[in-house]
Amino acid sequence: MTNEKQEPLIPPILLLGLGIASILVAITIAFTNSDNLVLALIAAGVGIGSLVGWGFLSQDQFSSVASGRALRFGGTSLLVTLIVIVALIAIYAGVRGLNLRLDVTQQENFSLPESARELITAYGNDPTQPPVRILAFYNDAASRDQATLLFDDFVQTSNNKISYEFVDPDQNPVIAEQYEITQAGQIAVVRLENGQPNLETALTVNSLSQESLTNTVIAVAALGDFRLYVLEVENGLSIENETPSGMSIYNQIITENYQFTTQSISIFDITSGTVNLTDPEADGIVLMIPGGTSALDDESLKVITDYLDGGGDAVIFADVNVEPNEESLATAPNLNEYLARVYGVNFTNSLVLDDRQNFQSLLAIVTNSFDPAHPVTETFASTNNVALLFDASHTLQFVETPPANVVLTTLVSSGPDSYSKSIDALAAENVEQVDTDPVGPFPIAIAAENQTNGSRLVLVGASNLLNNQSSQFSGSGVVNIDLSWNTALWTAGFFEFYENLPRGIRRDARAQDAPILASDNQLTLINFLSTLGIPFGILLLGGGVWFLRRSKVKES
Amino acid sequence: MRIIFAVYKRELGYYFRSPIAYAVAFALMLLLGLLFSGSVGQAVEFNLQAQQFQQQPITASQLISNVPTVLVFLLFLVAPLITMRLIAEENREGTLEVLMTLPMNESAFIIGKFLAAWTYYTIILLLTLIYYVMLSTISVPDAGQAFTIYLGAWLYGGAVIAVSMIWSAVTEDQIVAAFLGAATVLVLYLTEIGAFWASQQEITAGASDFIREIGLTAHYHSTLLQGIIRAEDIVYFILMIVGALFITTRLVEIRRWRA
Repeated sequence: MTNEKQEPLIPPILLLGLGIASILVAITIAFTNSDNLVLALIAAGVGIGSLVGWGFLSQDQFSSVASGRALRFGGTSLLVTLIVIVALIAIYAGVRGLNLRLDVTQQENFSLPESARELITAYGNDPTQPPVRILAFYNDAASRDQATLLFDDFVQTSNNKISYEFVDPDQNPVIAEQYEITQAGQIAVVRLENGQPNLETALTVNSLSQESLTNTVIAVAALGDFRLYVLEVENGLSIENETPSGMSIYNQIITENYQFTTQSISIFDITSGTVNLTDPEADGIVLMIPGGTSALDDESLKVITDYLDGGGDAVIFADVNVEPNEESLATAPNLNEYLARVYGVNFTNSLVLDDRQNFQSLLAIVTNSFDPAHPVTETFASTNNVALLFDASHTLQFVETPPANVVLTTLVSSGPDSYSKSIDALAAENVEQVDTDPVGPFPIAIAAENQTNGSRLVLVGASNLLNNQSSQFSGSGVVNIDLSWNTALWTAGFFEFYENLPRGIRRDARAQDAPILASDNQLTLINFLSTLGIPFGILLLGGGVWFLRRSKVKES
Repeated sequence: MRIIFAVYKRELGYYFRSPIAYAVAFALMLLLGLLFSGSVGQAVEFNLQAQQFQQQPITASQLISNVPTVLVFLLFLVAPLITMRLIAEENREGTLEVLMTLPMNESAFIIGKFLAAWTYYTIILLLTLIYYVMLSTISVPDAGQAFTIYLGAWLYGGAVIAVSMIWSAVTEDQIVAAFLGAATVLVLYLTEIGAFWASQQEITAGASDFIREIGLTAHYHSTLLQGIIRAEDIVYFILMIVGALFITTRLVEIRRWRA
């Protein structure tokens, strides 16, 4: 009869491991998080219990440890093992410190493509461009690992002019709010001034992409100081007004997308010096007259004409005053006499009607006749299915002999079947076309540029292009609001300012971007091979090996 | 070196003579094949609709990581199955003592066994390259990304096999070795969750990063799987293999000393 030793249900070594691990967990919790003391006590209890269990189940090992035998021999082994593990950790930490990374994707997903690299290098070498910081609002380490490679490339390519940091939006909600971050994964780019971020210059990118990040860095670094002053006039549109007849949406877009500073001002603000329309610090200033149903008095008009004569830039949107024998601000004789004399163009007191191209009313004309070369309208001229929708528009006219130093461009014209009628005729409810009515197309938006003093002026026949109601149609191809802010951008010199900037860097198309497409035959073959051919082939091979071995065993 | 090769040859021969090795490969390839053909079918169907509705199509680069991702996850089951018998069986049958009387040291014995297991896994991994070839016939996968995906999966497999081998040296019971190996690999796989939990707690700032860096996924999923090679990831896997094999060797030595 043999005295076989029965194997315990739980291997004692497991209890030893569990005991040591639990005690280590207990110590870690106790030192790092005093709030979870209960958890530490539980872990300690489990640890002690496991060690006691190990002592009972493996009395030989326990007595070996107690007598010091295990410590003498096993202890050396344990010590060597610990030394090796520490050495391995040290090697890992050393290599980690080297920060060696490589993007091997053919699509260059995590490094700058050549076009972006050139731009960032040029930015880095330009001493006039300020440094920028990229703040990546990530709450997971995996995203940080991936983005680090690209951000490092930005830093190195820009010669350390670009810096970056990761911010956990969950842990730092205040910072996230400052940069208007709405979700994790967004990236903010901000200009550094005296080493501190200027929050007003911050722009946001929604996801990690070399192209959008490059464009944003360049835009933030080159951000100009552009200002739009909107004159407060009687019944004119207001940038604070959020109703359909206000222009709050226009204001929001021009401030958020183009970083303009906007302000409603009165003539008094200009004369009192509260607002300096000729501030040399600004990169561009535009004075906007947003409609107005009453003529400006001569004194106020002089303030504006002095500004324009001094090379100032302005945009005038005409309003309609349907009261008989009254003029609107834009059609008033005092303003038009000046416009005709200095710029060779003026508003008329007639409105355009069109019985072919209209929207529900003869006065609500629709047109897609844009100048294809002017910066204000070139985008619309090259785009299909876009048009302007006027509520009612004054016509504009050129003087017979315009000043030689002024370049005039008709930005928008009415349709070829349009005709015009005076306000007085329309007031008499006479809208039908008669033979004596002037026939279109009529200019309804004109750009003038004085080449002597550099003044730029845009005249637009209708102020409804600015209002919030117009912006609601923008998704359906109505470009009223787009044309409105383009007039301000051009007059302020915004386009030229950014002309030399690398705008619109786009991702180069690569073969790897091709979608997965397969014929039915190809799909059938793939299905067959992957679900039947390969696995059952392996099974068959295994069966063959088993059969051969079985035969060999039988033979032997 | 000759001894390592002799042990390696003996073990590798065992894998290719054993029907269990083929059964494991069959089950794995069937599962991965179903996954691959299903995802290709779905991608083609989606892309046909995407063309009509001008949506962003699915590209081969998005699909190429599917199979290796599932494969490395399944390693928590496969690796212990491959390694459970390597030392435990020798222990149980008493052949370890006999082998140890031969003129060879423990490390050569362990390295030879490890290399054989890793070779078996490598063959399975190479078999999955057939999916890359198939994908190449209907689209253009990113070859650079594919390289890092497979390099990472290969190193990941090596590390997991080495860690699982420790338990085979600890216990004579193959089932216990497999169970403990699976648990260890799963814990190493799920450290990302532990790190996330730690980041939500008010414990020291570095604790979360430390926990994450111990785990396997931080060194594969967020870098190598995406096409990024980081020296620290490659070194992590190599050191993991070296460390685990060292511990296994020590355990075998202890057994010898006890005997």
